[in-house]
This record gives sequence, C-alpha cells and structure tokens, in this order.
Amino acid sequence: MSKEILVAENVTKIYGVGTKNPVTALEDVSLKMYEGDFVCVMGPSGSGKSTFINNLSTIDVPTKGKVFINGKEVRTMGENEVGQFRYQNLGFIFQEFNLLDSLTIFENIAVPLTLSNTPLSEIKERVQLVAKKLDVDILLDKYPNECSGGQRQRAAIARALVTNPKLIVADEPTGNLDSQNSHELLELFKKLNEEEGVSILMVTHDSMIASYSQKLLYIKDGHIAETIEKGNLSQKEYFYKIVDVNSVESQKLFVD
Amino acid sequence: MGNFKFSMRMLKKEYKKSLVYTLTLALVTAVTFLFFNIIDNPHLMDAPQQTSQWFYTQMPFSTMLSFLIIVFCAFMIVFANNFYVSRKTDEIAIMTMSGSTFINVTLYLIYQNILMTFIAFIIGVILGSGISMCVNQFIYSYIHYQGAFFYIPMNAIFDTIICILAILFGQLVYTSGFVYRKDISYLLSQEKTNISQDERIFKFPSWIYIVIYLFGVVSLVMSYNSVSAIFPCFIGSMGIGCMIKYNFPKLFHIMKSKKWLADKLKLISLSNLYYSLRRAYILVGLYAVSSSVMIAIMIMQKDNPRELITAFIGFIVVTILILASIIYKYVMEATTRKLFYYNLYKMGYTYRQLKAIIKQEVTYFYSLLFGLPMVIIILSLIQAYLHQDITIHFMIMILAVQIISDIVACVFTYIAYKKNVLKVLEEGVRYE
Repeated sequence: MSKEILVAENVTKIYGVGTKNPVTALEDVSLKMYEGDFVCVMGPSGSGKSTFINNLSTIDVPTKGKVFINGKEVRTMGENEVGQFRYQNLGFIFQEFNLLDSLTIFENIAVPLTLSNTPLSEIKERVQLVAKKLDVDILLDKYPNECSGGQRQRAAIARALVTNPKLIVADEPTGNLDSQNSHELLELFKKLNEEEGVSILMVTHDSMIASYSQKLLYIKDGHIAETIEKGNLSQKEYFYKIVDVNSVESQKLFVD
Repeated sequence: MGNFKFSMRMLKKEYKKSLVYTLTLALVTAVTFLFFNIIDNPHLMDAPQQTSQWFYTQMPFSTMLSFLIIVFCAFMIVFANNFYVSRKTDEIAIMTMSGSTFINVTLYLIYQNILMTFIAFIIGVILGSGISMCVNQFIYSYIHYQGAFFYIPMNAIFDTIICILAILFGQLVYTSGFVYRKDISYLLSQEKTNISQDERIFKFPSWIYIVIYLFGVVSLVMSYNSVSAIFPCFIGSMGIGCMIKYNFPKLFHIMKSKKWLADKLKLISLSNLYYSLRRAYILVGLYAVSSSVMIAIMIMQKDNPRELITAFIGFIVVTILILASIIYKYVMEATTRKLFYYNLYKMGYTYRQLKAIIKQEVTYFYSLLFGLPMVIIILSLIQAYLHQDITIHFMIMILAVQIISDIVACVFTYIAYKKNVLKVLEEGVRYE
C-alpha cells in the first residue's frame, strides 16, 4: 500500500467571513492522495477547483476542516515549516507561468534550490541538468519577457522539477499552450508519474488533458460531484467517461 | 456629458492613484508659489540697476534661481503626469475598445486632470502661502528688514495661475499624443508590466559612464573655485545617472551568478533593485545633479545672506520634490509586483523573508541614491572648507538635510511598498 501524501478532511473554504456577503467556495470536501497518484480536478468555471488545490497545497488555509501533509496537519505547522515543506516537496505550475520577471530563466529555475540552501556549485549543476531535460538550456540567460509562451511554461516546469518534488500541483498548466506543447507537457507528467513516482494534482478544463490522469474529481458548486477512477480502462475509454461527466451538465441545460 | 460623468466616477473609483498624483501636484504648486513669492516680493529685492538698454538690467541671483526652480517644478509636473497617464492604460484601452474616439478619451483624461489640478492648486496655494510667510520672515531677519507677516504679493498668485495653466496645456498636448500613438494591445499590457527596454540610439560602452563620473570627481580634487565647482558637480552627477542605468545592472548580474545565487534574499532583492534602478535612473541622476549643483551654488553665495537663504530653501524643496517623486514612482511600480511576491510566497518564501527582501531592496536603492552623489558633495564641501572658509556648522547642516531626507524617504517607501505587495498575504494566508 502506498503512503498517504496528502489528506483533506471535510475542507470548507468561505471567503469574506464576517462581511455582509460571505461566499462558500468549497464545502465539506475530502480527498486522500497517495504517493504516485495522478489526480485531475475538473468542473465548470467558478466551481471551486483552484480554491480546492490552493487549500490542499498550503497556498490557502481552509476555514473549516483539516489538511494533512505527510501525516502532519498544515494548521499546526509554523510559517517557516510550511515554507520549507513547499520548496522541498511541492512543485507548482500555473497557467500564467508565474515566472519572476526580474530574474533570468536560470535564476527563476534556481529559486527553489536557493531556498533550500543548496551550495552554489550544486545549484548551477542541477539547473543545467533540468534545463537540458526540458529543452530550455539555450534560454538560461534570457528574461521571461524575451521567451515565447511554450518556452516560459517549460521554464516554469523546470523550476517545479528542479528540487525533485514529491507532488506537482498544476493549475491549468496547458491553458496558454498550443495543442502540441500541451501534449508534450502531459507526456512529461505521465513519465514523471510512472517512472519517477511523482504525484500530480492538476486542474484542467480539457477532457483530453484530463485523460492522462488516473483519477478524476468533478467539482460543482464547491462539492465533489463525481469521482472517476481510470483503473484498467484505456486512455480512450477513460476520455469518453470524462466527456460524459462533463456533458451531463450541458445536457441538463437542454432538458430544463 | 456622459463622458464627463464617467470620467469623474472613474476618478473616484481609482482614488488611490489620483490621490498621490494630486498631492504631488499640490506640493509642486506650493513650491512654484513660494518661488514666485520670492521673485515678486519687492521687499526681497535690491533695486535693479537700470541702464538704458534692457539687457544690461542686473537680475538678482535669487530671482534667476527661483526661475530655474519653477522650471524644474514644471518638469516635475510633466513627469508626474507622464507617469500617471502611463498607469491608466487599462482604462484608456477599455474605452477605445468600447468605441470611444480619440477626442473622447483625451477629454476623459483632461476632465480628470482639470479637477485634480484645481484641487491641487487650492491646496498648493494655501500650503505655499503658509510656507512663503515663514520663509519671508526668515529672509527678512537675514537682511534686517521688518516686514508684515501676512504679506503675500498678489502677483505670486497670478503668476502661479499662469504657470499652472501653461502646464495644463502641456498636459493636454502630452495626453492627446499618448492616446493617439498607442494601440490597444500595447495599452493593455503596460499596467501589469515592469519591463524596461534599452532605448538608446547610441550605445556607448558602459565604462564611458564611469570615466565621466570619475572625471567630475577628479576635476573637483584637482582645481577648485566656487564658480567652476558647479561644472564638475554637474558632469560627475550626470555620470551617476548613466552608471545607475547601464553599469550597476551588469555588476549585479555578475555578482548574482558568482555569489548571490545561493542567497535567498539577495537573489530576489538585487534582481528587483536592478529593475527599480533602471526605471528611476532619470530621477536618481536628477537627484545627484540637483543636490550637488545646489550645494555648489550655496557655497558660491555664502557671503550673500539673501541669495544663500534662497539657495538653501531651493536646495531643500528640490530635494523634497525629487524624493517625493521617487517615492511616488517606486510605490506605483510596486503595484505591478503583487503577483511577483505572491508567487515567491507560493514557492516557499515566508512572510518574514518577503519583508526582508523588500527592506533590502529599498535600503540598497536609497544607499546608492545617497552614496554616489555623496562622494561629490563631500569633496566639494571639503574643498570649500579648505579654500573658502565655509564653517563646519554649514557642512553639518547640508549633510543633515541630505541624510535625514534620505532616511525619511527610505522609510516611507518601505512602508508603502510593503503595504502594497504584501497586503494580500496579511489579509488572507497567514500561518502565524
């Protein structure tokens, strides 16, 4: 049995607590993620997908409920411990690339290593290695604004992978990429997941992209409305199941 | 009429941006008023030595200096307006996309400008009157004249109005030009970006700027007299502006790859400093030029109390104006860095580390702003002490103005910068 890496117990997130109009973005959601899992989160716009992964990955703090990472509850961790946990265990990839524009691509990739007090020579070595792997080694002296969208996303992935994280958290990682770059990215995720045992938690709108995962959570109005396991299904069969789940909502609109 | 209402509504909504701009305008108006008061106040003038030909009329030095400071104030308003408009590009782009014509967009900005200038004028004249009354008394005491405390020359108000109207016209020309030249995609991308491009037509090798700076320093050391000291101060300070833009970024880049890449705070703070310096190099250069040249002028006028006082007041207000502009620009630029700091937080930087990064960046910035011209200033003060008998008291006073104003500006910038970029973390995600 694989080790539990991330556990969410009855997580609720309410924005604007104490104001006239509090908004419940997430209500009573639970999830267990094991080492080597590849979980995809789908749902309509505003359903709470990003809130869900932000609360699970220590970016945000739930209003109610508990999140355990490696068996430890996030709320009981101090700020330093949470920070340390992030740069040692998590790799974040987002739709907007989120590269730091005043740093070169090299420096951007190096940031998580710098945070973990890695020696200078090792930083240089590891950045070169991961940059080569993601084909961004010729861009290392450039600034993010001098690179194309695909190049920036690859650089952001290199940054996420440079510390060999146990869990990759990706929010719409293909949102700004063309189909070729999107599938290359997902092939890479699949390889990391299958060969290196990296766990992946990813939000996407694209059923085709979601079909690379092993488990799908469909979130609607802040609840997990449906869960699909890939199991022994082929990617094509799994894709059709995902499309079905997504189209139910649209079909309801016609009936109503 | 709809355009006018919309423009006023947006001004109210974006009041934070407008408030800082209006206060800058008010401060500049107050300074303009103060120096028109010095020019127009008959009690502060010597009787001009008239000759038959107008060009032989001797103009008092304080009048000339006041005039230069007023020109400088006009420049500061144009600069503030330029920056203010460049931070409103989203609004302009959305209006253009919604079908507003060039005239409508220009009018939209002009309505806002007129209202802000009007408010700034009222505040500026009230503030300027108060300052002028105190300054007049101060100068009277030096020239042994007994003048009424509440006396303000009416011409100062008229001259300020004419000056502000001329500046409003300049703003109209600049604003319409800006709206006319920029396309929608450019406008939409500008408010969120903090990238600056090298737009030099002639790209000199960067060592030239060090040579220019050193030339100023060496000239001050080699030969000295009070009038000719202005030239090396000016040249050396010009070198500072260019070094800030073209030499320091390269130096930081080298230092980062050799050493600071493994320093979690310096890696970020110096990368940000690189951008801040590039964006503010004109102001930094201007600060160096104005402070060193104004000090040289004060030394030159040390035996003439009235001119010395005018120069000293000029020195203080120019220093305050430039520092206010630097704070304004720095804080406005900081608004584009919210996501930057949020991303650092996501990567594992703690709130305390982010605060330390901001503190480091701002401290380094002000250390350079203060330190580089200080070499020239201290040299000219020492030379003046050796050759012109200026007092230690005078030297301390000059240095105190520089140091105190710099520290106050540094603290203000730090607080405003931190509040702007870390607010989201203070309100939302905290683990302590």
